[in-house]
Amino acid sequence: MPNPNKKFVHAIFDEYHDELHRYLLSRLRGRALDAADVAQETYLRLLRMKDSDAVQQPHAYVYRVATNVMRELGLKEQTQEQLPERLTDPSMQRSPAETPDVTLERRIRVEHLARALRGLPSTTQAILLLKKRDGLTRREIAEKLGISEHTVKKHLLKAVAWCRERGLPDRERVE
Amino acid sequence: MIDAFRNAREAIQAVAAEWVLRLDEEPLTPSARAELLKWLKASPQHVEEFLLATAAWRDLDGIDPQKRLDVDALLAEAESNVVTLSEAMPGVGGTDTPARQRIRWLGGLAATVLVVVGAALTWPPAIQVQHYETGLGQQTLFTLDDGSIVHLNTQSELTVRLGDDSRELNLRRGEALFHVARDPERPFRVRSGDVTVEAIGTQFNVYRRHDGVQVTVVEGTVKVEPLAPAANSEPGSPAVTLEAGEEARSRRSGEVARVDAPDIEKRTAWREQRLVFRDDPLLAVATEFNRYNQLQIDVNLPDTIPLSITATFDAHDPQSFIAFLERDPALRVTRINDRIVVRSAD
Repeated sequence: MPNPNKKFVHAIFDEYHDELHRYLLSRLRGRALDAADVAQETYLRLLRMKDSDAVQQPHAYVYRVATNVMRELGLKEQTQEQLPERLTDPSMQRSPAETPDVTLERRIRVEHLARALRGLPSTTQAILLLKKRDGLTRREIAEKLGISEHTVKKHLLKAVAWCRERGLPDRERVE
Repeated sequence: MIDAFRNAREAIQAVAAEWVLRLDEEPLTPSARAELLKWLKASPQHVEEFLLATAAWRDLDGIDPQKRLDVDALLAEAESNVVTLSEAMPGVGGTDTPARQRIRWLGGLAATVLVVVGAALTWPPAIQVQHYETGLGQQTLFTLDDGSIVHLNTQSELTVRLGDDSRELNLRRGEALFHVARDPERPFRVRSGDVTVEAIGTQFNVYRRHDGVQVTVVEGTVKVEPLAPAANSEPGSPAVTLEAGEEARSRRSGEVARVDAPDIEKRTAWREQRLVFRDDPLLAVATEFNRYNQLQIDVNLPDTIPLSITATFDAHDPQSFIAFLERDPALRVTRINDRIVVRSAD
């Protein structure tokens, strides 16, 4: 059953998607200071604004502010410097949103992620696939597997933590 | 060094992941949106983890597009090989006990940190007293038995007493950042000089300066209470309640006063051995460097030369700061052994 909120959330994700990935990459490639700076500045701007403005869509607000901060701090240029040469061929330098290097970068990342997920317990892998690949809701997964929704959620939470820690190519592979 | 705050970070990560999952599936009610906003505004680390969890979750969208992985096979595999989540993922499930973590930390720091564990004679005998100390330029990080994490800065001394219904700490000198494990039954109290700071579950920095104590809240809420003067029975000045992003200082007079518009990043940058200055007087900058280094900088300037510094330095690199001063034509910088004297050029 289509969920209007989900569509909306995905639209927001899509809008800020590449920036959020650059953020994750900068963190995982050891540019922790940049990532911390972005978070710090985003936080400070969040504090400065009126709650009445932000409370409509706090997450969208955070993504937008973080994206602006990243642009201002020039984080993008810095992370691109760290990409392999073939990805930073000057002929490919166009607007960051749809350049081939972003696409390639993303493909490498997804392939790595697929391998990394093999390290998760198989139940967690199965639940994650049902959720992200097959688009089932948590309730549907719970019914299919005969477990509680709470357990489904616990597996998904672990999966997010796992991907946050190791779901991206490590420094050796990237550099 | 921030990554070393494993337990605390993991707790934030878990909440961040929870929000990302909620956003993925449920329409957020107005009260849930307000709750999310409040959580994000409580700490920059919340913002950071929320962004990281969002990016990680979004990355999973492209997973297995050719549907090569077989869900049923995975589930069958799970049944034949039952592994609980926490066993399979050490570190994420928090299987390390605080005590083990502490031992691991201290193992690596044994040479630099003095730890004395013994029964206190003035305390009920069941309570253990732990004593932590750092030398010049040293920092250390440890987990207490209640799960709270303490990051101790240079030249600091802390005693810890964890009892059944209280957690009493005394910062005898120096500076520490506390990430308090939530336990409403046992208030977490840090005494330092003339104030007591009380928290339930939160993160805050206490810096015992030569002229008073500075308390900065990174996350949550704390209460800063002046100690009543021992000699007379009059109550001290009222307690100050601080929220995330707020700061208070105690004065010699015993009162605790709120600081306007504190810079939280500046207050906690020491964990990364960074010194952050924003329009700070030269004397204050030199004092900060002197906390970390054998090389002592002595500022000897008349008040008529107002010189303020806005910069970020490596705490262990006073040379770059000295080089910076040497370029200033108004100053004369001389070096005598381990002492740098800054005077007016006139």
